[in-house]
Amino acid sequence: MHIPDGFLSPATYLPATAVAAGLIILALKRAELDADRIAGVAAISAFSFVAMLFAIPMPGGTSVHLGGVGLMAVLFGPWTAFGALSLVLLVQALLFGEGGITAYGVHVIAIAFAGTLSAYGIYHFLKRVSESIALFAAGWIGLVVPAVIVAAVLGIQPLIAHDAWGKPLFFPFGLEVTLPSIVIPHLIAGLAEGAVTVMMVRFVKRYFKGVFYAA
Amino acid sequence: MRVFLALFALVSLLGAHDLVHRVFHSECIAVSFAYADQSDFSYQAYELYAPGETIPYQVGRTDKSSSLCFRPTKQGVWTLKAFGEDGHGAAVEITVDEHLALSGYAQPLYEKFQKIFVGLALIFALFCTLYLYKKRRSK
Repeated sequence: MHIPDGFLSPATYLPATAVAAGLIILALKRAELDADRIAGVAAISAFSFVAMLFAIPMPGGTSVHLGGVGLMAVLFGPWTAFGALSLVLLVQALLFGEGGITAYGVHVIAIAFAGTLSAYGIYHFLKRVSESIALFAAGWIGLVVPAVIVAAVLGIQPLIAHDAWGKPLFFPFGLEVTLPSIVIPHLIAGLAEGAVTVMMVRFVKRYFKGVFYAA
Repeated sequence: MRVFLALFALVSLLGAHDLVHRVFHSECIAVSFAYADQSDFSYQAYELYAPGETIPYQVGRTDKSSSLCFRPTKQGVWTLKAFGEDGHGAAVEITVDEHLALSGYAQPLYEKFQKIFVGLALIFALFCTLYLYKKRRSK
């Protein structure tokens, strides 16, 4: 899900970077992160960082990785989760080449913002039905929504940036290729993410009540 | 006629002992060693074993730049053992494909996990800084 440098046109990454910067400034104001909760956020951010580094091979030659997006959103609330995930993505982009620096804005919007917001929303919507189903859905959708956005952003590159003969200047494949090749593996990997979210939230709620976001 | 045959036999024998050579600029696999602090591993002994073999395919010492080269002759996992005179050493498994080209090698544990260790350390350091900042502001 980490897009490298050179795959996105400036017409995509410049506005995305501006939007991401605005969201990060907003998160700095709205995140409810008192000193006592920082250790918990650091621990789950570390879990998210490691989870994003391990690629799971999928049928068809692709691979996916877990992200801990739903887990973050449920445990710490959407804005704190957004801030922490933006930091994890920044460390990955700047130091390890896991995602390009020019693609950082898109990653922040897709993974940190849309991922946490959708996971948090579905958790609150479903938790009246069943806490377990809500957690599972949060984990699943926290992986699938960013995958859909990343696939869409990549897939529209040939339409946005091409030369006079219609040859793509950046990422060459359209939506008919990116949507199935990126989204379908994530629909399956989301099942593992959902299961991990259920287990991890239960574990944290049981043994580390102090770090849990009460809202 | 006898003289001619004798001369022919002599020339053939000379040819059999003549050392011919070819120079390759590809088809070889190069391996470079270094200690974790990037200090060199030059002129150290090594043994290279072909897949399934117990007798070394190649022995020698690393060159001035701590490297060595070999030209694989069969597909499979080649084992390279390097021995430092200070007692340090390494065993590297190098996988060669059906075209006798490099298809992969086992990374050392340090290299494999250094990304995780560095990333985790950095994330915890950033959150520690944030914690100290928040604590100071709350006083």
